[in-house]
Amino acid sequence: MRNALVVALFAASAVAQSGPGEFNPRKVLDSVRPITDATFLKGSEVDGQVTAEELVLGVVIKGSARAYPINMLTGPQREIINDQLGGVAIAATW
Amino acid sequence: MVYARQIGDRTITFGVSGLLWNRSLVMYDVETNSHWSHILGRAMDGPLKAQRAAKQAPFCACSSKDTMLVMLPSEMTTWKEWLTSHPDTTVLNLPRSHKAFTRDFYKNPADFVFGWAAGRKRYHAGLDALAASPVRNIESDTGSLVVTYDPASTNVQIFSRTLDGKELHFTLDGQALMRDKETGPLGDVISGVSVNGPSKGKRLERRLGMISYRRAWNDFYPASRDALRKSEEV
Repeated sequence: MRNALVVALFAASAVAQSGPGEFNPRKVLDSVRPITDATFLKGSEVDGQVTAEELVLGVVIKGSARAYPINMLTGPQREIINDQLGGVAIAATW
Repeated sequence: MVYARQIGDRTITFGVSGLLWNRSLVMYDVETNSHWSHILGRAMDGPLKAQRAAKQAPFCACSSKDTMLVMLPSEMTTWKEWLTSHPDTTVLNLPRSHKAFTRDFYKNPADFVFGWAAGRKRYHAGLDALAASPVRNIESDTGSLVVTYDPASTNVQIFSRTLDGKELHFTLDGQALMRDKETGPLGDVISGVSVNGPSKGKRLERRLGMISYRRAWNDFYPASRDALRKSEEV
């Protein structure tokens, strides 16, 4: 079901025999304050903010559709948008 | 990727931790300062670190008590295609980065895979192979699937091939349609909706999958199988 919540199949750990290994991250920059106050346009109001051939991450929840242009998600200060869509708290990540 | 940022009754808020693990983003949550793997959707340390209880069915981690994030269906496509398919969409409005992210991002398609889970196993299909042959019938442990690639938008989708209890086999027809070999009607490769014939309006069940760098997918799921090696060429 397109709009149904789906269990995070990718998260479940069928990586017992082999996998990404020990969690040993390395620090590459300072942590960034979460983005919780992003603003949105109606698709019909777009006027050059996003262009036809640009890639977007699209999601539909309970009939509400939203696009996150990769152009706007990328960059070390971005990457994650804390959002609400269709009454569900979501994180759009790149 | 899109995750529900809900653990039990608690809504959590993610930020960029500044850490990288296996060259992939590590998120943190401001509520507990746990660190989360972006690609696994799992807390890797801190108060919300997931417990890998052996008795827990690995793919039924559906309880809201689990410290794994629920992944929601999302797709990577062009703005043009998304707006056409979703005319009522809203769109994020942040200043643009200097990068222009168009299909050129995939200019070396062999560097990317479309990955998914079936049962306990992970599968992937190379974007280069999908570009060469965009409608692929696949058998997996959890049933018959079809993976589709729309060359115009670069949108990749995965659907169940079972409709009304009947297994279908699809072939590409034109640019963005697939034809069901058994009964003939055409379906849209992006929506999975049949566009003519007796099944008109019926929708294949969409499954969850994701585009990833091949290297990252291999790092996180080294046992993942190349589904197209056993792909049924029809």
